[in-house]
Amino acid sequence: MNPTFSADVQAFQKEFATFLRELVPADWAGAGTLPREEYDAFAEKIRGQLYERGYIGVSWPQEYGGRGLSAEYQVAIAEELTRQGLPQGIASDVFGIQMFGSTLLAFGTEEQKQRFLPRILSGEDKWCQGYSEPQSGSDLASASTTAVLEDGMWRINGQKIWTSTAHLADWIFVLVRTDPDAAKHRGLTLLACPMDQPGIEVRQIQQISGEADFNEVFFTDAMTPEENTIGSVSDGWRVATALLEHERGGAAAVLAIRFAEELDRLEELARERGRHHEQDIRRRIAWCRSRVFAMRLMGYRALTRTLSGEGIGPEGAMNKLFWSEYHRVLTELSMDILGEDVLTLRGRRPAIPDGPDAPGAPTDSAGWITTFLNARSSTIFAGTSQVQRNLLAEKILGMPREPRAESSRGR
Amino acid sequence: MQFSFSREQEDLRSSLRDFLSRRSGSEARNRVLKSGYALDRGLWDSMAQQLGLLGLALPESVGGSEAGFLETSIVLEELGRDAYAGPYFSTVAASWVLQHAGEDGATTLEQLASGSRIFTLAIADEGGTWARPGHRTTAFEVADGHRLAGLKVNVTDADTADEFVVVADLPDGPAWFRVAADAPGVSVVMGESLDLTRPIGQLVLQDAPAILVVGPAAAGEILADVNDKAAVALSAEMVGGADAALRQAVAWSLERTQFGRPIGSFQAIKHMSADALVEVETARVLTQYAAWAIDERTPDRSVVASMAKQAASDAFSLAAGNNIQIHGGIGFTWEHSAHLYFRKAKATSALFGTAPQHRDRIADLLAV
Repeated sequence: MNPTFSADVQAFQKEFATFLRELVPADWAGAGTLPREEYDAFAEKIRGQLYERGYIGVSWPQEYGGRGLSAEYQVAIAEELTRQGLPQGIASDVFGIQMFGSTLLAFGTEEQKQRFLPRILSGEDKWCQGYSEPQSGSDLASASTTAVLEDGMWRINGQKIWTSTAHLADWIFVLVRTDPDAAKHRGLTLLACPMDQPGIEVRQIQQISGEADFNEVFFTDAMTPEENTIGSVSDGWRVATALLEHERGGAAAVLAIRFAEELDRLEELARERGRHHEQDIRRRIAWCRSRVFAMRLMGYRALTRTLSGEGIGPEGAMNKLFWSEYHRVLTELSMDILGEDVLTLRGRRPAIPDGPDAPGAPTDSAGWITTFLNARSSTIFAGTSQVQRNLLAEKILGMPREPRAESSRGR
Repeated sequence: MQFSFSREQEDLRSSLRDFLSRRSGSEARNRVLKSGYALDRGLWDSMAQQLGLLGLALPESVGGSEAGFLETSIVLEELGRDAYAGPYFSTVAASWVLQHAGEDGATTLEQLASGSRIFTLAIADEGGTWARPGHRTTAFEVADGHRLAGLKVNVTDADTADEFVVVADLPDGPAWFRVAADAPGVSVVMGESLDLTRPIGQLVLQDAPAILVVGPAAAGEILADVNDKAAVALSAEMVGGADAALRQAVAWSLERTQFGRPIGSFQAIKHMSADALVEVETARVLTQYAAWAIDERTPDRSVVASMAKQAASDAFSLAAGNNIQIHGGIGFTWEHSAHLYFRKAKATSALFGTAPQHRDRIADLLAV
């Protein structure tokens, strides 16, 4: 037991910290102090500077633009970025680096890796994820968007929904039905498809906070070449679920760092309003502190497994359930501290639509209220809390699946 | 980065689990339910002499094996899983004070490590707590040592202990003393314990002869240290107990059939169990880190000790409550061990500070 970074990683982190301090003014108070409209451009700019110096995707193999370092370095980088009030990449990095990139490393052909991975790291290609459909939410394997192979090209028809950052993306990895006659889990394929083509239409969806960060994506004879098939044809279910479970070890540790910073701001809010003397508020903050620290330790535990070459398996489901449910409780607490000030949204809105806002964000009511509203999405996206609980019960506790009412066919 | 146990630590866990299933386990639990608490002296001696559990963290010079607090926490987790009925926690907790007795304490620690004498802590006065004992138990010096007068409450394993380690006030401040159970002026009044595996009593001291263990200069710091260690030790016990209750509920849900299928296939039962699992794992990681922090004496050890205690209390209460609910009627009977864990959950939460008290302490320590 030694839940600290190794000496090498600590030295690396120190060097990285020095580099970061050069990027911002001496009186820098965090990216959360920027107006919402300027945040994305700033995040893009910093990401570019990190890329130049080789700090993006350090755990990827060198031949694809990484540095071949262990996952420990990735966590150290993320930790330092938040400590210095800087963004942990841009919104589409979750889909490009964490999801698609990691999956391609496991399932992609050599040619695909060389073609896609460096451009993901450089930021030239932005990615989004085409999984959910209007009729396929938790029951993802019932997806009915089709793809037919014609003369070396896949022709895609159907609709995806809840697609975050699709309006900004160059590429989509899309789960499609390629064999309508096979059992539903067996007829799916994962395809990489360019977004800029007449067969694809993106319509933004306004969410409960009034903003529009996710989309519907319509495929009408959209085309992608056969060589953009990820993994084998009809093996899409395995690839797609591995992608969801391919959450890198330590992701929870990285998130916990941002949650801890958010909790600092919540304490600041309580102090500003003189509520930090109230026993109820103090106890709830203490509970949140414990929760965030536990999240970090769960991340360290997963990181330990990753470093020793084991997968984290169903614990990814636990981490997702844990942080998304925590965030709901945290945002409820922020509403209770605001009291009657929840009646109106004043001041700056958050720059980050899901999860904690950027470090250093002000304690304005508009920020907390918007985060409170958006926290309702985290317990739904990437598998609802109910789906995660089923997974935990079945995969960790060994409880039986519920009998299925439907037939085993796709449609 | 290594957030996991070593091979040796895992071996300690598995050999102890194996030992307990043979020598204690459901038979011992049923015995407690049927005939009440009675210390199994043969088992205790084996734990001390064969497995070396009592001297685990003590110096070799007194018969110990110089392992750390982390190893002790592994033992406590397994004892908690077993719902072991014996004064292990009490005796080990007493050793945290006795270790500061200097050379005079060596014989006492030898007796403790060998299991030949059983110890417990007597800290809180009436109206006091483990963290703030009060000042109503007093000590005065006499020609051949000291005499203590006062009343100590919520003393664990009070009727099993051969010797008490007591906080009492000297004119210049609180100090630690040792009092033999069979000395004149010492009597014990037992209560009806909620926890059937851990008797609770009051210690009445009427000018009882006592030996000074630690004087006022260091006593306060040791009391704070004891509170941190006890919080983590009890968290480890509760993690074990919570995990046992969760596993017992799951096992039953696979066995019990209603509406033509195992009740464990219903999402209502699965989601209760998954929620308990998340709480148990939360408490587990916090407890493991806190045990490591105590070994390393990191600056955050008091905060994380409280984080562990409040999380473990919540996890155990949830898992043990779910266990009764999932068992249905049979879980509400005296003969089923589900209430053993349910009782332990609430009682252990109350020892050395409840969950809300620990949350207050976290807020204080972090200067919220």
